[in-house]
Amino acid sequence: MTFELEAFSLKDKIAIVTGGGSGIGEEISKAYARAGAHVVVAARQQDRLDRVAEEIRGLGRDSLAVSTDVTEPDQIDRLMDKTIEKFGRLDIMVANSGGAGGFDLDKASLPEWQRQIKLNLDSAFLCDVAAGKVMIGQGTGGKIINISSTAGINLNPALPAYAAAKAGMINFTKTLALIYARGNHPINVNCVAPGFTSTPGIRKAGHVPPNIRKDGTRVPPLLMPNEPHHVADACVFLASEAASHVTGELMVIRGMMHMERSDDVTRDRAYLVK
Amino acid sequence: MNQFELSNKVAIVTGGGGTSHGIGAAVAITLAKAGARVVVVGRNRNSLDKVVKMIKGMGRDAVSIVADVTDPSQVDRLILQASDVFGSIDILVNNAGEISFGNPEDLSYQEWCDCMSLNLNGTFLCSVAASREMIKQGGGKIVNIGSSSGIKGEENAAHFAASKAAVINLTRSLAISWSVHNINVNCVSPGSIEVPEQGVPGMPEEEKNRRQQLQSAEVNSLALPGKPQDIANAVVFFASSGSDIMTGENLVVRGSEWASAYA
Repeated sequence: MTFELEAFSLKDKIAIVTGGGSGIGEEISKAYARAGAHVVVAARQQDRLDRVAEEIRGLGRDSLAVSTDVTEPDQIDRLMDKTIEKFGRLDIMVANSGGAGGFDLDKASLPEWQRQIKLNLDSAFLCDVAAGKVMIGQGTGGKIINISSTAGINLNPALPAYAAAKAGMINFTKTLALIYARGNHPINVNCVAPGFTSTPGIRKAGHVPPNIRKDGTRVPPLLMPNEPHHVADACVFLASEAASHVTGELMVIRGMMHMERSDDVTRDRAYLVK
Repeated sequence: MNQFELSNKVAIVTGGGGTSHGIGAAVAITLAKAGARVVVVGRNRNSLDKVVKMIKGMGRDAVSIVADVTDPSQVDRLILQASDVFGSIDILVNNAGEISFGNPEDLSYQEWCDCMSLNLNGTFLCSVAASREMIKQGGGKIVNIGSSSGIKGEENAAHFAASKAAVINLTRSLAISWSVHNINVNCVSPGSIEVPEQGVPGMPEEEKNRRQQLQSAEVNSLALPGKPQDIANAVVFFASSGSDIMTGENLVVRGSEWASAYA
């Protein structure tokens, strides 16, 4: 039996993925290429981008690696220019750059707070608005996807600045969807909030709980952290025509890891409040 | 093989005859296009067989089973028969449901009970019966059809809105309970769906006119009522391995309809 749903394909779409050189962004970039898109990967480290771009070409799709600091407006402009120069248009923008950082209120410093807000929230604002302008100019509409985090919904005493930025991103997503709806622009703006995700970096740091408990029993997959492809799969769906009637929505990507009863798993027992 | 493919999966779709908006029929046909073998369930043999015929015409496999999902014994029989026909139950789509309109002060208690019975009890009964098979098999996917009314409330359909709010909440509880059994339980909540030409039974003239007027407006597609296909696509996502880690979620599919609240 073959799959006959063209609506789920990204064939010949042009996508930009920021933070595309590693982790979740790398996975999204490659999933987009497998779904048929040509992908512009943007992040600060050129060597990482080059490696992902090479893999995308290996999948038979075109790619462009643009070294970019996504907190700098002129570099975002340059990213858009380079994309249009090579591919002629932009269909999908994934604002995925960011990073969690601890923030100790006892040593709270305004510059550190601002650094985290800038990296996690300003970056999405800059990318979204720049991409939106291109999409409005094309008149073809487009898809904007912001990668937030369950930190933006839950409370985490270790991550006040990161969590505030990610919460801000969720609200900004909805507001931008509203603004484009008011302007009668067919641009879908949605947010994806992954929970704890086993990226290679997280795995290497030893933060991923074992899938075998101390008593030898297996932890059910839904009680384990996300794999990066779980986040990427949802991003493929949201970027496709199959989700063309979804806008201003938040998709939370996580299982029930917080329900795992075993002591060898760090639990986040706070239920999601929506 | 892509992450949304449903080859070798068996799906049950309740309300699959699609007599009102046609969501059930679109779901059944789209699941079949994604590769699944489909058991189409409803009360009206004729409308079920029409959907089965369309699926078979595409070279895919489907059967119809007549059952009333509000009757526990019929639901048990349905699940037995369905697992007999195709050998397993991998996907259950709880789509059977109905809407009626009226001011809450004019609503009869019977109307309230009928609405809860079909929209909520039917979803509960089918989920529990199917879960027993899925637990034996080592997992499965349950997709409920909620409604944006279940989140925002509804001026002239309080009973419907309450039943769908309960479905959304039931989704979360079942997801928690059955996460250990590898059963994903998610919900797709449509906003306004375009009205077919023949109208929707029980829909007041003004609501029908409002939607048909909207359908012909010159606005981008996000501002138009949704199509049954939009809902079917989201159901395929939640039925597929593309959503393997997602459970207890509710995806609202309503374009930019919500934006009018901020006018």
